[in-house]
Order: sequence, then structure tokens, then C-alpha cells
Amino acid sequence: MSQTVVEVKNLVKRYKELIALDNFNMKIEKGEVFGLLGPNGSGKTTTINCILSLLNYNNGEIKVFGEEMKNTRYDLKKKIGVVMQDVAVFDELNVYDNIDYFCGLYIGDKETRKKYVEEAIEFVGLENFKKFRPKKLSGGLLRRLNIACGIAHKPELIILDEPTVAVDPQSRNKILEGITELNRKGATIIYTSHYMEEVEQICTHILIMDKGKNVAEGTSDELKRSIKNTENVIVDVRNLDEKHVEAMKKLNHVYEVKYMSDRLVIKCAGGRHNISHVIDYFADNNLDYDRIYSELPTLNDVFLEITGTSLRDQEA
Amino acid sequence: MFLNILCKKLKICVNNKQNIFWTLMFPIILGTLFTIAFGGIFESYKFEQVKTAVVFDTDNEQVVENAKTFLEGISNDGKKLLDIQYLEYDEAEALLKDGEKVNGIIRVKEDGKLTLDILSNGVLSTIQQSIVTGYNQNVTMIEKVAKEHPEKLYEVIKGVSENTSYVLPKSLGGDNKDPFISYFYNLLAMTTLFASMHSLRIGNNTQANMSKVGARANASPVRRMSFQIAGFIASFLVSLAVVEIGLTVMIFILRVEFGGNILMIYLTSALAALLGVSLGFFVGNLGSFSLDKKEGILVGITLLGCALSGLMYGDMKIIIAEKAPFINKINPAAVISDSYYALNMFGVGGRFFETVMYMVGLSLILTIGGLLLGRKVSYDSI
Repeated sequence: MSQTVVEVKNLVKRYKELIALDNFNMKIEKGEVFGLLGPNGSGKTTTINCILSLLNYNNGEIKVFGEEMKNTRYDLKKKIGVVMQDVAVFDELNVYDNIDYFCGLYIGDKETRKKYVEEAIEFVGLENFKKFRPKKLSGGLLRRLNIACGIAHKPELIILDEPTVAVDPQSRNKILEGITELNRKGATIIYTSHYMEEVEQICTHILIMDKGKNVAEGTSDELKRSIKNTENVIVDVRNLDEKHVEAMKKLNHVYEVKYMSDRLVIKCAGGRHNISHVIDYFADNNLDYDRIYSELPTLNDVFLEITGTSLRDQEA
Repeated sequence: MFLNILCKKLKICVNNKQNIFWTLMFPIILGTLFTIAFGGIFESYKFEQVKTAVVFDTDNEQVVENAKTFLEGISNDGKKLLDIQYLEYDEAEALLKDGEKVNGIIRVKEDGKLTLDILSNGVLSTIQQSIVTGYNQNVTMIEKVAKEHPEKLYEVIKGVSENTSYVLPKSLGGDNKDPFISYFYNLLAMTTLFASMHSLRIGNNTQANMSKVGARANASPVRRMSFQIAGFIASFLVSLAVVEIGLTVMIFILRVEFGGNILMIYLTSALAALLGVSLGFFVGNLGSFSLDKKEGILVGITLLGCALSGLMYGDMKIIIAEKAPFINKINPAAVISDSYYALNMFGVGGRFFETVMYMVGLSLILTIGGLLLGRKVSYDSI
């Protein structure tokens, strides 16, 4: 039987005139890697801060482990680990002492804490940097330290708020593998990001946020199935006449064609072998192209179809 | 858990090289500069006998005896103030014109009064003039009393001999009469107030809307009060060490003479460190300004406080005491420097304990104020 770890009902948070969370709802079951996906400013971090009772909210209800979450619920806080969006460590303490300090806020026993700290260091791969101060670490290593500080006490619920921002690919992979490993060991994960590939890679359940609202949720496949788009045919072609763009809109299963920067994107809904129809069109009209390929829809397409804007556009 | 927080907070304070420099090295450097700058003044200010030629323009033995007794009896801390040569006027005049042989000629007149011949004004001639004027006033007064109230003559003579005071200040129980020592009192006050930098971050590091580590601390199962108290204790211990090291350097290396009661000076410094930490703690919890702004506020308070207590201009505290005495009671720098002053000028007593009470009182007000300001539990924005 599933157990709800976090439940958010009709959450409203206003910053003066701005509505950051607009009757937001969310339910996270034990053992999930729950992805909160949305562009910058969509309300992901505000949601996290409300769950942690760091922020006051105007309306709504938040339950953690089945109980109402308040700032003074130290028993609930003890089960939660937080990895903030920005690195939150002390510059004056070395790697070991930083992890030991934050772990010590949860674990009183010195021996247990020592073991946990060592395990956390090994987990994030900072064995060779124990005595390093944060300023001596690269951006990626610093992010790993930030994660170690948040998870060293082995929490049941781990909240990671955009932990891979400005991280090199090697560290990013290490972090993503680590999150999967933590989940495998039993932790429930809330993972916020605006990188849809990451969310798609590690999350078992995804909630898409926009303007403080829950616009869609489900597994990656469920989300993709929920939209009209089933296939995108992309053609790299130069100087394509507008009449061909219009003509291709009339091909079978094609519902949208866009031509920008020498790239033609043909969106299809249903049907099979859509790419072959496009190839035939180019052959029949003696048109040259550099490259043609087919892609399945991504979460960006889901976001685009639901909100009318692209996640990637908003990132830019 | 609390011990772990305390230990780490101590490490954080100790490893903050910038704060350690400003709170430890800067006062030592400034103290060294003070010593160099005032060294010459100290030397010239050290007790020096005033070379004086005394010429008797009278044969009245009583007058001669009175003048001799008085002039030879003037002393400072057991040392004779005047280096007297009894000469004929011509010889005395020659020595006076010779410059450094004598600083002035005191002539004892027939009527029992004294006159002074000098070539130029200066500190030494001022002392001589002061002696002559005082003596003449006393002679006049004694003559008048002898005529009008002879029965009170003994009391008047006794009173005159006890109340004669010249230029150099006299300690009232303490040991140091050096007029420039007040600059070092203020330097110590500045050291203790600069030590407030250690406690400034406590507020920021425990407020979720002020720092990332503050947000992490607030998400943890530890009460904010524990962070605040651990931070306060750690800051106090580091400030105490810094202040006492600075004081030790001043006393034993720079040879600044704070007086004989060294233990009490160290204890006073401990209280001053407490006041400094309380000030930093209060400012650190004051509103949701950035750390830079709070540092600016704290440096402003410290420097203004030190300026008003006389670090830059020695008589400033006296001016404040006359114009707006209340400021000296709430200015931490003035309260701290005043306690050193009271200890060294009056010794351990009522005046000193009064300043101690002010220090403790101000510390309590600032600490409680800081705790009240920092007790916010959740935020409207982060």
C-alpha cells in the first residue's frame, strides 16, 4: 500500500501583487523520485520553501509524513534532508567539518555521525578533498559538497532544489547517479529542475509547473501520451520556399510546420512512417536537404503544448 | 548536538582570517604606532626637575626660612620638583641668559612674596610661575587671617600645605598618571568593539532570509535559539582571546603602563569583550539588511563611538560629558574606556563598579534585544 510522504493542497503564496503559487496541489508517494519541472520563476523553489515551513503562505495545507508541517515540527524536520539551489556551506570550514556540522544538526551520537560523514564523503566522491576549504573546490565539487551536507544524516525524504545548475557534465552524471542510488536505498526524492532531460532521466513521477500552477503530471510516458504530438520530423534545409511549408501542412498526420533558421520542424499526430512521407515530398519536388531525422516528443513538447511556450525559450 | 555546533562555530570564528586581522592585528599595529608617536611626548612629559635660581632680596631670616622650606618642600611623588641653586642676582642672571643652566630666577622679596624672572615661556616656566603665584596667594591669605582671625591660622596653614597642586595630575588610587594613556584606553575599547565582528554573522547565519546556511539551519530540527546561543558563546570566547592577546601585547611588549592591578584590567577587558560581542549580536539581528550593510553599521558605530570617547581627540569625552552626558552612558566605547580610566585613576571602588554596571547593563540590553529581534520563525520571502 502506498504511503503519502508529502501532500500539498490548494497552496497559495503571494509576494505583494505577484501570485507565486496559485492553488497548487501535489502529492508525493513513498519511494518516488518526484520531479518538479518548470521554467525559472514557475514556483518550484517557493513550493519547496513552503514545504520546509521556511516561508509563510497565504492559504492551503501542507502535510509531511501525514502530519501538518509547521516550523516547529522538529520531529518531521529530522526526517528531511535539503540540498538548496545555492551552495549553503561555511567557507571557514573544510569539507569534512562542513558535512560534520550539518550532519550534527540531526545526529547526536558522535560515532554514528563520524560513520555517516565518511559515507557521505565517499558517496559524493570527495575522499581526496576532505581537508579542502570550499573556496578551493571547483563548481562541480562544491555542488557535491552541498549535496553531501544535505544527505549525510540519511533522511527519509530528500529535497534537491536544482542541484545541477552550473555543474560540469562529469559532476552532473555523478550527482544524477547518486540521486538514483539514494532512491534505491529507500529515500523519497523531490527533485526540482528546469532541465527536462535530467527530470526525464531520473524521475519516476513528474509534475510540470507554470506560473505557480500544476499544469500536468504523471510519468514521462504518460505525459507524452497526453499530448497530440506523437512524432517530430526535422529537416535541415536551406532557402525553402514558403509554398513548400504550406504544402507540407497538408501531408497526412501533420498538424504544424515551422521553418526557422534553415530548420524545418514538422509536427505529427499519430500515423506511422511520417518521415517517409516527408522524404517523398522532397524527392517529388526536387528539393535538396542536408539532413532529415525523426524524434519522439520530449517533455518540452508537453510543456509547449500545454502552456504555449517552450521550456527552452524560458531558460534562455 | 549543541557542543558540536559550538565547536564548529568556534572554528568558523578562528578561521575567519579577515576578522582576526581586524580585531587582533589592527589594534596591535595602531597601539605600536601610538607608542612610537607618543613615546617622545611621554619622555618629555616624564617628571623633570625645574632648574631654578633663588635670589634673596631680603635679610629677614623668617622670610628666607619660609621661602626655603616651601621651595625645597615642593615635590611630586617624593621627588623634588625644583632643582634649586641659591645665588646672587648677577650670577643667576648669567645662568639664565646662558639658556639651559637655569629655567628661571625666583626672587624672595622683603614683603615675603616671590617674583619670577624668565627669558621665555614654556612648560617649565609655567610650573615656576604657578608655584610663585600659589605661594604669593597663600602668603597674602595667611597674612590676612593672621590679622583678622589669628585663631584659625594653624588650620589655614595646614590646609594650604595639603591642597597645593601644580601641573602634574595625581592619581587617586590607581597607578598611572600618564595623560596620554586615555588613547590606549580608547584603543582597547576599539579592540573590544571591533571584536563584535565575530558575533555579527550569528544573526545572518541563523536567518533563512539572510543567508543560505541560515535557510539550511532553519530547515534542520535544531531550535534557532541553540544556534544563537552557541554562536554567541563562540564569538565571546574568540573575542575574549583576541582582546586579552592584544592587551598582553600592549602591556608586555609595547610596555604601555596601564597600572598595577593587571588582573582587574584583564577582567575589565573580558567584560568589554562581552559588551562588544553583544553589540555585534544585536546589529547582526537588526533587520534583513545584507551582511555588508550590517558591517558598515557596526564599523560606523564603533568608529563614531571611539571618536566620541576620545580616540581621535583626547578631550572629546570631556566635551561630551559637559554638553550631552547621556551619550557617554550609552556609548559602548566611552563606557569601556571609562572603566579602564576609573580602574587606573581611582582603583577598584565605587566609580569603577559603576562603569562595570554600565557595561553589564548595556551587554544585557543588547543581547536580549538581539534575541528578541532574531526570534522570527518563518518568513514572507526568502
